[in-house]
Amino acid sequence: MKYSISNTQLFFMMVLATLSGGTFLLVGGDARQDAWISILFSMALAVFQILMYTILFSQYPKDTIITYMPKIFGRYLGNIICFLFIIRFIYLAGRLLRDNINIMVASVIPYSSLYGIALLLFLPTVVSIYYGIENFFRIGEIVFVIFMVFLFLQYILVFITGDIIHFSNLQPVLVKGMEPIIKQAFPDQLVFPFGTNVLFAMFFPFLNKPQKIHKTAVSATIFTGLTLTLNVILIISVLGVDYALASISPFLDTIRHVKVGFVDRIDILSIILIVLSGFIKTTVSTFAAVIAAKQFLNFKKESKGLIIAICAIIYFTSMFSGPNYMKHLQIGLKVVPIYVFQLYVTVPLIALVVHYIRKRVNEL
Amino acid sequence: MKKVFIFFFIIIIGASSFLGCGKSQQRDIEKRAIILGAGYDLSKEGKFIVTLQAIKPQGRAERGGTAASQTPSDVIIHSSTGRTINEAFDEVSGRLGKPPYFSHEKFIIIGERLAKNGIELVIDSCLRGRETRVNVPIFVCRENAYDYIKTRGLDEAIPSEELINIMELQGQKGFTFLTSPVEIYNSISQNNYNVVGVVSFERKKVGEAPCDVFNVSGSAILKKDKLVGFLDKQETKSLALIKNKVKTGDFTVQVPESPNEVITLEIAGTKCKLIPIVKDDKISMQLIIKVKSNIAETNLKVDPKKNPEVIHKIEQLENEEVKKQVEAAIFKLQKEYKIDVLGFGEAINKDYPKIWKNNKDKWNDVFPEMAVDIQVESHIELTGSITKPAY
Repeated sequence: MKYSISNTQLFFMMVLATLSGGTFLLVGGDARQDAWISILFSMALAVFQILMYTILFSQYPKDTIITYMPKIFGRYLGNIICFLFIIRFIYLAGRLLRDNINIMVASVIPYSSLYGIALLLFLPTVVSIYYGIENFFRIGEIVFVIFMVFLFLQYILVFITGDIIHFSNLQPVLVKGMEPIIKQAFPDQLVFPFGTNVLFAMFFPFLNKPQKIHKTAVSATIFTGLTLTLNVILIISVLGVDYALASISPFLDTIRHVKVGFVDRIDILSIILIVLSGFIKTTVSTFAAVIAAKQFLNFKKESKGLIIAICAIIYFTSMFSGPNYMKHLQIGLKVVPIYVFQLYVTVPLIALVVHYIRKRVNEL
Repeated sequence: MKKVFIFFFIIIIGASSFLGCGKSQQRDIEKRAIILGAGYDLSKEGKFIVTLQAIKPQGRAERGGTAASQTPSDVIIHSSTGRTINEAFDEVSGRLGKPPYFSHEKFIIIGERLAKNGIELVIDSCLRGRETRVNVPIFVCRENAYDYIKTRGLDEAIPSEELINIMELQGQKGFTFLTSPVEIYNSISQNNYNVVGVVSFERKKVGEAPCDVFNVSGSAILKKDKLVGFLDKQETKSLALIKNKVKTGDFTVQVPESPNEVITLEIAGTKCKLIPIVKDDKISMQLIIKVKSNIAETNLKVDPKKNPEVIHKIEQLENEEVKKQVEAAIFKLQKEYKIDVLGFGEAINKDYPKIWKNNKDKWNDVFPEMAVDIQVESHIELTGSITKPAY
């Protein structure tokens, strides 16, 4: 554990990974035109969620989830929880890979082979893991700049086009009250998109300034939350709620409306963003899975065999995550969050309580 | 170990770069028929008739020649029928040996019979699978769409180019609407009304030979996906004014005391606000229309430089003119068609969602009886390069 990554690099990675899926799908669609309120609401909750992990980390400054869970819950229960986390990370990486492939195939290169594109998109991930954490987080710096410049360039172009934005699509506000918003935030949005933050609990021990972790994590969450809010406001005011809900890639359809002089059909820019950020998010979760497995199995040295094995599992998970894209999305956005919510929110909450009780008992 | 790894990596990356080159995915430009415009009709037997205007792949047609009545064109027209839209496309590609390519489609024209029958399938197929852009405008025509796709136009070698230029210009003046499939999708799913542009052409004598000239004839009203009525040019302009779609164009104002004197005002910008007013269970609507304009031509014998108060007087005249036009259009929509294309229902929903909920089901009875108060605020900014006409 001699690696060190800076807090800024962690911030970049957290922002990129959360924005990856969040910008391109319609987050909070069940709240219809109030989707942006629901994102702001769940952002507030996500701040508390990530604070649970950072507080746990500050209590065990050299441990990741995998190593402190057994210390808190004891060997048996702790190891079961760790195992669940590893399964979750592997499954998540597989799903993300599938998401990327599907967006590519559905909107850019139809009629291409899923397996082949999966291989092409996944190989850079394998290579980054092979070269280690530091190198990977350095990629994040470059990707962050490209991603943010292109993303905000697209927002600006949408604004300049002018005629296509109808803010009246966002009215009436809160016509059904807060209920759909709370319902959305609780199981769903704390897992997707804000659950991505949990992956980074695996990287906290590699930081060079671990004492500043709270500030970094919270500011990353707030930054992504605000960007997602802007994003969803633009999508709904350009497309209208009903079409935005029906579209497979609402962000792409929004960008397709851009026409500023001779500048139009700039959706290829968003494809670049999708591929870049998809790579980052897949790699983060694969990395989390590899580190978790390594610590779980008590490997002392870097094991190439382990990397290859986990990557192979992820590759095949991506192929079998659903019989078709609709089923895949339904599983990912409606079924999985119910269980993962318990793992991501309830487990660390109990862990915090148990930890403080133990501390109290030991002091007495 | 590392060298072997890199070697395999290069091999796999290299090999997978050729994944898109399979025979089935071949998309060479000469093997696709590039479609510029599409027309959809319904035959008497209930089959879809699809008419496509595709660009000619080889060179330009010979131009000139005094005998030619119309400009030689660079396009080919294909027409076919099928039980569904895709079946009709299949027939076209079967005949051509190349599949149609919709990415450069400029507009979609829908025939009257199909529009009355419902265009849901057209909207769906256009948004779902084909490469059609999401913001391609949809027009309705009287009678059959294939006549319009076949029309050669006046001066462009590519008729679709000419038609879309006309429609875009007229759309800015508010004489027609450029409605995208996305907007129609939204209005269908909200059970709402929408307006689309109407195209037409006339056979005119240009020079010596007869020639087909495209023009615009107002707009058509869709209830969900079905055509329910037409509006003429003037009514369309008033509707566009209410929907904030007028960008340029002009108003002609007559001076009541002296009928020979006219003022043409060039529109520099408009803005309309719908303000629903609810007073003890009675809903009324207030329209505040702001028109910014410049004087474009006049023979009114006044000099605004000496007497700036005159401008205020012209503003008053413009107010009355705009109010008269908008009132006429609203009267027709309220009393004759009894349909709420104006978006009054939406405006009430946005400001008073609870009141809208109570009135939603009986809206068709409430809307025609609604009191509408129109207020026009004109503002004349400039007088052009000269201040007074020569007198």
